[in-house]
Amino acid sequence: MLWPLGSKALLAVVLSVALLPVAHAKSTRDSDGKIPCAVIENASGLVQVMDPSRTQLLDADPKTPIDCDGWVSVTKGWVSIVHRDGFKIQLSAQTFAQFPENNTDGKRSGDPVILYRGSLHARTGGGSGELRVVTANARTRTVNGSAIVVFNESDEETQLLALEGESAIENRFHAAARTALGSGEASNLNFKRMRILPSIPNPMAVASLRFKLVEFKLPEKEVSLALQLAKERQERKFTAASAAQRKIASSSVKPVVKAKPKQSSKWVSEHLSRKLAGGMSGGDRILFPEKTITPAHTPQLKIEDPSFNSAKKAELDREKQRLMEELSQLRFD
Amino acid sequence: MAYGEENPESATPAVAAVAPAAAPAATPFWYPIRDAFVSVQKKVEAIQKADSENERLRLENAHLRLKLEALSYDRREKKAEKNTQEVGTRLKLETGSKLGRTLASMTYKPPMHLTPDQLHLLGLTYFKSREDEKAAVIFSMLIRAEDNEEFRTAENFLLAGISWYRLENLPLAERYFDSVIHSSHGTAGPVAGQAWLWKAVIAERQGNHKKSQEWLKEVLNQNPHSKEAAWVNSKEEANRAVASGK
Repeated sequence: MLWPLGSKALLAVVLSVALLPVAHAKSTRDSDGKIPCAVIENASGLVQVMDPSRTQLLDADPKTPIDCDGWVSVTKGWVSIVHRDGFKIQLSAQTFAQFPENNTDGKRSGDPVILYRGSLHARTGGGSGELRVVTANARTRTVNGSAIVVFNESDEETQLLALEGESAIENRFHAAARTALGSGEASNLNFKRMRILPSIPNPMAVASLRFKLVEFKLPEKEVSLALQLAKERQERKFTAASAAQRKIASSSVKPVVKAKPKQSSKWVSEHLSRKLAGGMSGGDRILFPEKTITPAHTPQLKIEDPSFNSAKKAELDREKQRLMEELSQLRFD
Repeated sequence: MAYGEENPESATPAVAAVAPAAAPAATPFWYPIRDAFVSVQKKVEAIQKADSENERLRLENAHLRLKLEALSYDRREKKAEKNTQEVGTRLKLETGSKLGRTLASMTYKPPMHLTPDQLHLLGLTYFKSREDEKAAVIFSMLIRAEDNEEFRTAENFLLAGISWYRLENLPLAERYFDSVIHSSHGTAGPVAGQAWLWKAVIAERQGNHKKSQEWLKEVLNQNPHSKEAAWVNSKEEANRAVASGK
């Protein structure tokens, strides 16, 4: 008995799906026993990871490894990465970065991150050491803190925003051309003005920083801390060194302590006076005349009554004595 | 013939009877299933092929993007290196050092709402905290002010000169130190003494050892027992009386 045509078609589809060979097998990565340079912690948007052999293009799922010399591209969204050295790195939209092998000599002297373009937020600390981020023209260094590194491809400018802790930016082709930054300061390097050094540290505008921090998926606590430090730096009136040197709650004026004259120096000066004066007495008066001059006599005004004689003076004294005795006998109840 | 009877002579000759065609055989019930399976399999293969092609194009796209990024990066890197060398060479000619700075290369603008005295105090603060760019800009501005000659003193010339020295602009620093000596009218004093010392340092940096020695001797001759003279020689040498036999 023939089945209805619709049922037959449905059965055919079900059977074919059940027997369908796998069209595209998701390949498993061959780790080769090597530790990847970084691992994706979390991601959102359009993020791709390419392995160094350029044969595999992976989606940025959590725990996706990034092999050394691999690339990460963020077209939209963001990605949070943990480097094997302990750095926490976030890439924002329109960012392209590479994670090269930085431990070829066993001393981790290489640069862990190469930022081709875009923005990167880095957090170091907990013994992770110094994070060096390289761009086309600069190298930034961050130790025990957090910073944002931006490479603007249209201006070909590298900008470092030191959020917390100390950071530095240098011209990668002249290591001495380095500028150190404190929390809440920013500096940039370009070749628009005739200088190969990065610009002097300037306080960041809080509004601009808030706008920049939105690009990253940072915890609220960290965002608040960064904004607070930037605000403190912006509101600081005096230069950093003078403000930092004074201890908290101490008076800014140091007490002047006069040094006591040494006994030996007095003997030496007297000996010298005798020698120079040829043994003459009063050599000090010759060598140091200013010491022998008596201080100027201050004038005093004295009024004398020519009619005043000794008898009158005795009478006055007696009267004075009598008055004193009377006053001493007075009692105030 | 009775009605209804057929005339055997006029009757239509009977058509030769043909055996009726055999009815077609019934198709097996699995034929449609087979056809459906084949059809679906073809479609699945087409999808698989399209998916592989898509993956290949994705990979190719990624390769091209990577190549583009790498080439752009290499270009910018080479350009930055070239700029560093060229600018460094020009600065070396102008300031005596590749890291030297000029007024045009600094972006700092002093606050214009301060009085000159307040600006001077701000400059001193920046000088003490080694923010040399800001100090150099402020002192240069105060000294060059056309409507106010109050700040053209030896001390301010010295501060400006030291700031510019720290910024590696040796010729400009030397000009300010010359102004110190000129404004001191050749008299000995701590300010002039320091200016001579700085000139000696600059001459030494420029490789003019003979000139640096001349400036140091000038410091010793003008004021042999000064603090600046003590910096030049050892303490015993500084305490030596002038024109003594030692």
